[in-house]
Amino acid sequence: MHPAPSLILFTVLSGLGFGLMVWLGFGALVPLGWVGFVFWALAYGLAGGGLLAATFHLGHPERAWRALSQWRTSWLSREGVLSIVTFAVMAPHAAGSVFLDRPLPVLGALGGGLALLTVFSTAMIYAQLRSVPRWHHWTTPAVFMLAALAGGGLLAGQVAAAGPLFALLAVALALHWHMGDRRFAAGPDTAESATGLGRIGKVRLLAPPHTGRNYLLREMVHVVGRKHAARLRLIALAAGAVVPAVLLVALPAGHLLGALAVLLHLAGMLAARWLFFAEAEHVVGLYYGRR
Amino acid sequence: MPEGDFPLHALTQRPMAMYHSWGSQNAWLRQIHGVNPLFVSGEIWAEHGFAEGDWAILTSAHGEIRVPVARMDALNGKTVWTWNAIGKRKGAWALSPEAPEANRGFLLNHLIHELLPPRGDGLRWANSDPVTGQAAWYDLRVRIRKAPPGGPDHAEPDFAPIASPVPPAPGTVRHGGRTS
Repeated sequence: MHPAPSLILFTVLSGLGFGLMVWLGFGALVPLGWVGFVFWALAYGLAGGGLLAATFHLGHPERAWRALSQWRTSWLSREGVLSIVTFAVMAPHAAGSVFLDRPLPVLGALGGGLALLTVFSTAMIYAQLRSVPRWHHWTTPAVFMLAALAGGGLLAGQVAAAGPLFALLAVALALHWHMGDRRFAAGPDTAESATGLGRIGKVRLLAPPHTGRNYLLREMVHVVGRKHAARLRLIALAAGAVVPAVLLVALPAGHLLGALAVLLHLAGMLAARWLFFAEAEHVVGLYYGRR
Repeated sequence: MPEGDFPLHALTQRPMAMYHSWGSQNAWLRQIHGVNPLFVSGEIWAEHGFAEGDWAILTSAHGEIRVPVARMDALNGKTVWTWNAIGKRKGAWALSPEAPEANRGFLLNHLIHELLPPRGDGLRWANSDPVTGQAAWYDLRVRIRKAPPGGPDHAEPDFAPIASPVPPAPGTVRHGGRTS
């Protein structure tokens, strides 16, 4: 898959924002007044900014609202609906905390649950695709949700909880890569099944369907840069999860340390998300003898 | 013509897609057929020890070309063939000199003489069907050998670009976009 920067930014930033909303919503910390304003602005800014970045990925951003009507069949639509509902349900709790020193815990908890569901639906956009075996696996929502919870917990200053969550995220990332590398070969899709000629014997492609580039090759059979995958995985694992976990567990908490851990985590997750797209192999590549 | 010198038949035909879009849809045709290899039978492939990505030198009584090869098992053992009408001279069709058609595409034309050999009657007969004028592509005899490694990454012969009477083609051809 083509690793579109708009999608990488969207999934990482909005995941972080919704993750922070989970912690704020369930009342792990209840910041009031100006401090509350900063926390809630950060949560809404990251989550909403990510959604905006995602609409830039569309050929016709002005049609984005139409996606909302298809929630019965589309995870993308559910994600859009859920994020708007989350924003709306969370708003009285946030406004009450910031302006009236009156948090509304029930709405907060409801919003926190919805925020987590939103992250889940983002992950399911990818995990539901049988045509991309690497994504079609439970580790995809596990990575998305753990990244949101760990990153959000870090932003919310929940050091004690974020440390173990980062450790879990590291395990989920490693599992996602380890199992993902074997998913395509283990799946049912081969050149034989793609051409329907398997009953005759082994299929060798004489020529591709066309010799030039097209949308499919550009978007679905993106193989550029995969040679850096091993190094990027190490960077993603270390910066995104392992080092923040060690920092949080081993060193005394503080704003400086927290900021360092957030930046490391952000850089690591951007690398991990780039890999998530760049390493995804769509079965359409079978028609081209490439993945 | 002695069979030992030129033991193989070389065929060429226009790709079907081109018949469906005579004179139009050229951007589409270029996407489908931008390059062509010389398809050689499994027998020839094994005999000459070809590997994927290899180039071959194909020789007829009239000329010689150096082209990329591909293995095709569903082919008569003594036959090689390729798509006609894909290869272009650099600059033709207002294509850029880097166009795939002008580099990895090729024609068998360089192997085919315009005229039949002299018959001693003082006349030279055209090497084409006397009724339709269709050039005789189906009686071309050739021999093949593996091209030495390290050759250029384009088919040969490779002529200088010809001047185009029209401006260069646009790099991107758009369809269905807004026009105003």
